[in-house]
Amino acid sequence: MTILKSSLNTGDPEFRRRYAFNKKLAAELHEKQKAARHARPQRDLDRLAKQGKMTPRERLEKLLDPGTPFLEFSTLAANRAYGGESPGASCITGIGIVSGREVVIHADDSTVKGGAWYPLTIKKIVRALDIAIENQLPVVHLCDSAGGQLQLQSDLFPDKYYAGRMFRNQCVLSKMNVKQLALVLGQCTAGGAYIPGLSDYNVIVRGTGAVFLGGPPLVKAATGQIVTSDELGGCDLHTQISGTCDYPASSEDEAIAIGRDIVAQWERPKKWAIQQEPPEAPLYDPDELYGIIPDDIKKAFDMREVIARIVDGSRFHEYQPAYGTTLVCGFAYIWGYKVGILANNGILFNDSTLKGTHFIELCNQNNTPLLFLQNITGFMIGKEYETAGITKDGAKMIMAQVGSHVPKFTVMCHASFGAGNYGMCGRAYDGRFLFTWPNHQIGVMGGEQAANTLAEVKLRQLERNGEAVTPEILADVRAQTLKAYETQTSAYYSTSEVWDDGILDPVDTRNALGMAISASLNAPLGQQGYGVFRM
Amino acid sequence: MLKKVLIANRGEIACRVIRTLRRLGIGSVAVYHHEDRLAPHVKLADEAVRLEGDVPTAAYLDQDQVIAICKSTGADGIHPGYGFLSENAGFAEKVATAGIIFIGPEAEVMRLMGDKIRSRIFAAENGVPVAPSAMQEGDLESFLKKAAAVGFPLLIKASAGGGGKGMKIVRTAGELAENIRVAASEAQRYFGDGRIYAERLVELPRHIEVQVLGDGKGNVVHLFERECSIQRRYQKIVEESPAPNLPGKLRDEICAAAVRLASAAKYKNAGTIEFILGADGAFYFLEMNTRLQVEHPVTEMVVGIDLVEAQLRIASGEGLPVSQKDLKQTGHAIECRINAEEPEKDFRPATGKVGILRVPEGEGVRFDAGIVQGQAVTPAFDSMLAKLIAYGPTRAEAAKRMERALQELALLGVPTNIDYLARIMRNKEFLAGKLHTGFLAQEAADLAAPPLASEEETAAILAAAFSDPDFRRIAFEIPEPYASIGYWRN
Amino acid sequence: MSYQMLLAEQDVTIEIVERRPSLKIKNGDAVRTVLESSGPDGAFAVTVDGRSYSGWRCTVGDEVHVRMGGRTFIIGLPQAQLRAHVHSKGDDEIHADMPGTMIAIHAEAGASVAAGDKLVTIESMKLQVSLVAPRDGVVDKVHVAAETAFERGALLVSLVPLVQDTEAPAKGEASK
Repeated sequence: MTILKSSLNTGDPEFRRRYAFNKKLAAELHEKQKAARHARPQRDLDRLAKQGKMTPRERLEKLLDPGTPFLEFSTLAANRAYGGESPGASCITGIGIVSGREVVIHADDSTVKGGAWYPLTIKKIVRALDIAIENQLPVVHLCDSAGGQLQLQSDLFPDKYYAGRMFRNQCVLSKMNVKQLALVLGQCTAGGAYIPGLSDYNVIVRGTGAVFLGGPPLVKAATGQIVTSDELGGCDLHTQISGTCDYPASSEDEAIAIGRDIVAQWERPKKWAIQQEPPEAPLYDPDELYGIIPDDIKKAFDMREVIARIVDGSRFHEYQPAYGTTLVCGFAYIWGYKVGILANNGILFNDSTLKGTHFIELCNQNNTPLLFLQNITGFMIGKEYETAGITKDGAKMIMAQVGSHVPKFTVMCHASFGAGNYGMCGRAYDGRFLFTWPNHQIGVMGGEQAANTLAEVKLRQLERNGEAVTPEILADVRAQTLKAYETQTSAYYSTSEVWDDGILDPVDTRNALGMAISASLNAPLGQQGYGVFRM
Repeated sequence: MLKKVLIANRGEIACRVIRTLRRLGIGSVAVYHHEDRLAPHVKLADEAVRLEGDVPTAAYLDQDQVIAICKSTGADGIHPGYGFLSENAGFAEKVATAGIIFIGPEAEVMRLMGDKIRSRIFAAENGVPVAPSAMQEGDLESFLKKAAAVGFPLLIKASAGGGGKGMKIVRTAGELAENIRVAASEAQRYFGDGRIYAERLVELPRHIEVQVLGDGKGNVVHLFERECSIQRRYQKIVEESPAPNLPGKLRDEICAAAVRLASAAKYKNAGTIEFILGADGAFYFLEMNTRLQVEHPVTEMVVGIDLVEAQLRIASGEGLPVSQKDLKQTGHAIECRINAEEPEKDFRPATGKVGILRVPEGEGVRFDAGIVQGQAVTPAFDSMLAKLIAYGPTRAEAAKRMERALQELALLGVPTNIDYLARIMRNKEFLAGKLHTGFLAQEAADLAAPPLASEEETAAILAAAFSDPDFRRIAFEIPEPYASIGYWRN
Repeated sequence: MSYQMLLAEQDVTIEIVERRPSLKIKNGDAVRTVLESSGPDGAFAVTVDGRSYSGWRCTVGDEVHVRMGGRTFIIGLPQAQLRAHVHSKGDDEIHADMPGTMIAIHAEAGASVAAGDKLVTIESMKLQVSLVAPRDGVVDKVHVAAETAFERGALLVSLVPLVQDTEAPAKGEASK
């Protein structure tokens, strides 16, 4: 492997402008994350303290092993929804180390409207459990939720991937011999009762913990029976008489200590033997990433400079360096794990698409996980390229990518527009983890392109109908389109809708990927084989 | 010579007696209560027989059972050790009646010396100085006047008592009547004998005792003196021989007085005469213990005689094994009693288990243990676990060796006074030999545990943490890359 | 998650801050580099910021006795620390978990008991069982007389509740 040569000039005004721009974006990201994680009305914090409860962040820090990292998913979920009522979508999910074992953690955030579930909360939790299933990671649930938001029930109850999917995922995990622990630290009502109910182990706190299919208000409305939370589904009832809960705890501290001891009982997982080397920090300073990423979605940059600041020793073995140069393909190590990287250096042509397809096959042949670094605005279009079969070639790349039995990881470093998203393992393509950068934009096409296209469409429509074409009408169409796209293509919108697993500060990418790859090794490799390649 | 000896005792003294029996090729029989089944004396002896009974200490005091076991094992002698039945005249008589040799004095002498009033009179009659005192000869009323005549401060003591129980210090005439009344009622309660006597109190006295051996025919030798002034609650915790800063003439006088007393009583076997020595050089008879004492090893090391062997020979009818002109003191020996107690909590006895026992091995170091690793320390028996003795050519050297031995001694699993004893060894007044029975109270501030340096405290906490497998797992068994990434949040 | 211990009845916290390249642990305000090794018979050596401390340690229940530098420390492991702070209602009342008959009362109202001491003997399904005190304390009341039958869940013995004060030192002893 050779060390990548950097042609970056940090004194360059272009570098400095980009650096300032991206540093500011990163600072903004951290500000927003801090607010989403910690900013809560004092009265909610007071109420929690009076109930003798810890905040979910405090619980998390006590649960995790000291001096270990925590990779949090979708911190900014729901940041553009519900009028901002639900920071983090009222829950915390992520991967951390508990008693020396990698686990997925799902914690309800009772500092937000009692931890009630919004539709995006469900989506975030289902996503966390999907991650657990795909990577065969045990799950620890810290349960403390008032249940589903009744006003939004049609968006969180009936459909296939709504609330019921959480419980279905729990059963699938259990069937796969992947363990789950639930700590009942508050209410688990209605469907929520199934979380501890379907967990292999659960612990319940006396006084504040309760599990019931119907809470006291519902019971009173349905049968007239008046009963307290504790009598209906408290610790002593469930641990001594009904047998629904396994371990009683007198305090949250004790519950967490018991939980950690339960996890310590689990056998250590057998991971599949990925090619490994001792890890090595990149040679180039990851801080320089801020100066590499452009301040304009249409501008390009050399992905090799990005790769050089993420991979071990900045060493990269490039495949087909002279062919299909708009897609950089090659092998590297991240935190000691061998990966095959596909990174966009421009739009995809026939040659780069074929190169990508072949490289994906090489990675599958060698059991090397795939890392997609996206900056794609689309495939090359036009008569020449269609004649050469660009549609077929794009299809082949998607076929190879989907047929991969190795784990896939995606980082959307800049643009992710159109069909290029598909070939480069967008959300729909079952990548184990998908992260974005704050400057990232996603859409069927870029805003300007869409504005131009729709203006063109409007022009044709007006002409067909024999109506007057004024510059104002066209400008209006353009402006409205741009505005809509600006909102909906932003990284913050995407992460709000849980279309990704979180926005990363670019300098955090290496650690996030190291943990992601390590987590993915818990699931065995799938069956090799692809569908039919349209040749 | 005796052929087989039963040791009617337990703990370190039983082990120590068995050691000498082994060396002399004499058979040994140990008795033990169920609570003591793991005790070392059980395994050390050639034979061991279990004592029946619910209460452990009562079992060792069961005279008939002990004698029956002696008969059934064919032992021809009983060594009573110290405490338990060692000064029980009735037992000595029963043993003799059973045709077994009691390794100790005659019952009559035990009775004499066991009676505080009679023994004082006997001492005075034989030219042994006694503190001004008054005996209770009638009712408490008439005693009051006589007691006041003794002079203040004075001590009211129980005639049948010992070990500091029922003693009252009276400093003014005004307090006398009430203290007399209370002391008499306590004496009745503790010892079953309400007689009391008053004795002049020597303030800050030194406790000096003399080891003697007698052949029962009036021939007595002394093996010089021991200093036992370092006491808490009237119990000795550090003893030494010779007594420091004791003028030779005074030593000779004290030892001669002891010999006079033992000889007049026609004392047989080993015994110790205890005196109190005032700062003015005046010494007074305190009591005689008609048995081997806990602190006998310091005499053994300085004089070079195995006292238990001497006891066996005398008991076998061989007479005194040594003559006075052949006895001299060489070097200096110090003994520290290792107790299961917490000195910082007013020496409250502690219980636990001997998890780790690491015996110090230095030149001149002797460890007489009554416990083994793994043994439980329960409130069933007294709190002395072992004795540590250090010998050196000089007192300073002996103290240094003792301090080092205390550092090396690891007895873990039950709180002990080991560190407290080490601080005594470093104490200036102790090293200067300025001792008296109020020493520990006087030096309390210097002997208190010094405050901890924060780094030392951290080291101890970490040592404890690393012994916990759970902690070791979170310290060492975190998988990569998590261990290398360390604390990180995205 | 921090590791909480007890030293001389005070809570002590240690936190692992870093593991690579060397183990760094925080105790109080200081972060120190730590190395450790152990030998047979409880011997250990701990190096803190380069200074070496060695001695012996021995675990008794949930406490570790450490002898080091001429002193002996008794340090409670997290189990001991938790035990000292946790007080639950289950520790005040002893209920019957099956119907039965009271056979014998071993500790009457006002009696001082230690954890594990027999309180009552009951008979159920032809089996006699002795119920013991869950903690040290004083018997408040024995609710069922001898030779009397009781139902499942019946309250048999209650102990005088401990005064719960989270700021008091561990083990409920008054601070000096």
